[in-house]
Amino acid sequence: MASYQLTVNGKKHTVDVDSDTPLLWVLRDTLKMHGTKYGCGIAQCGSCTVHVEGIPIRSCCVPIEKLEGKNIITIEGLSEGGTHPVQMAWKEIDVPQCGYCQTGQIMTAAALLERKPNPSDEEIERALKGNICRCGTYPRIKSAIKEAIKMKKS
Amino acid sequence: MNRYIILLAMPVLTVYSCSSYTEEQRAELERGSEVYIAHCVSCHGTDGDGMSGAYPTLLKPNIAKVNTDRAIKLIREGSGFEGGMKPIALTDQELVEVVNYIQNTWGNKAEFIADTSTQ
Repeated sequence: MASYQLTVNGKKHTVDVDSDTPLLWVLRDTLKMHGTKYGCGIAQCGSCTVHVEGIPIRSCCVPIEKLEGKNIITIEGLSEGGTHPVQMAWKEIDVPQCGYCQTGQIMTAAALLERKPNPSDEEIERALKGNICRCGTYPRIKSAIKEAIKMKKS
Repeated sequence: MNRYIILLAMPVLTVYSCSSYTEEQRAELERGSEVYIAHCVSCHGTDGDGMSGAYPTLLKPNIAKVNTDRAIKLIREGSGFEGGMKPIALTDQELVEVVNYIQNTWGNKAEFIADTSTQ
């Protein structure tokens, strides 16, 4: 066990865990932040996506020792009260079905719109390709991202 | 604040190896960086250096055709090892873009490839 300092959603945390503990375990088991979901555990589905220094990362496969001092944003910290344009659009379009993958989808979409405020359809599809939705809500996800773009503009 | 963090992070992913790329090559690298973010960055990192003992570094001083072929095969088919890299479902175009990005970023230098044919 070793001690690591992280900044999660703007708040500093010190955690005592093994060096190879994946970030997802630290978030869910140590910090009790359950918004980020465990899906496949091998970085193939995207449900555990969080932002590390603004980049969407699969938290299930990143060991904590790689994250010392890094800024991490989870779904809980994306906005105050779910008011991020992507979250608002998700509610407006009523995107989720079972909802399990949606935090990962939202985090990937939010990071995309920071990098590319006005992505094309193809850019949206390519950026979200690594986030799998077993319910097949992909058309609504794309609609919500377009809605979020409009909301950000207005 | 989130926007500030992202603006700080982006230059890390756009450290192309050469300043004399053509417009077309820069656009290719930009598209490749998006593929990298979507599929590779979690394991290999924003600096491409991976993690010793777990995720191999993508930094290579000399890139030969055999390295390019191996990268294409790895991305398409995975490593074949339990716990190793899994196949990544990319289109041929995405595969070309991400290989060109990896091989022309962080000091890596290689000829741009135009297709995914291997020897």
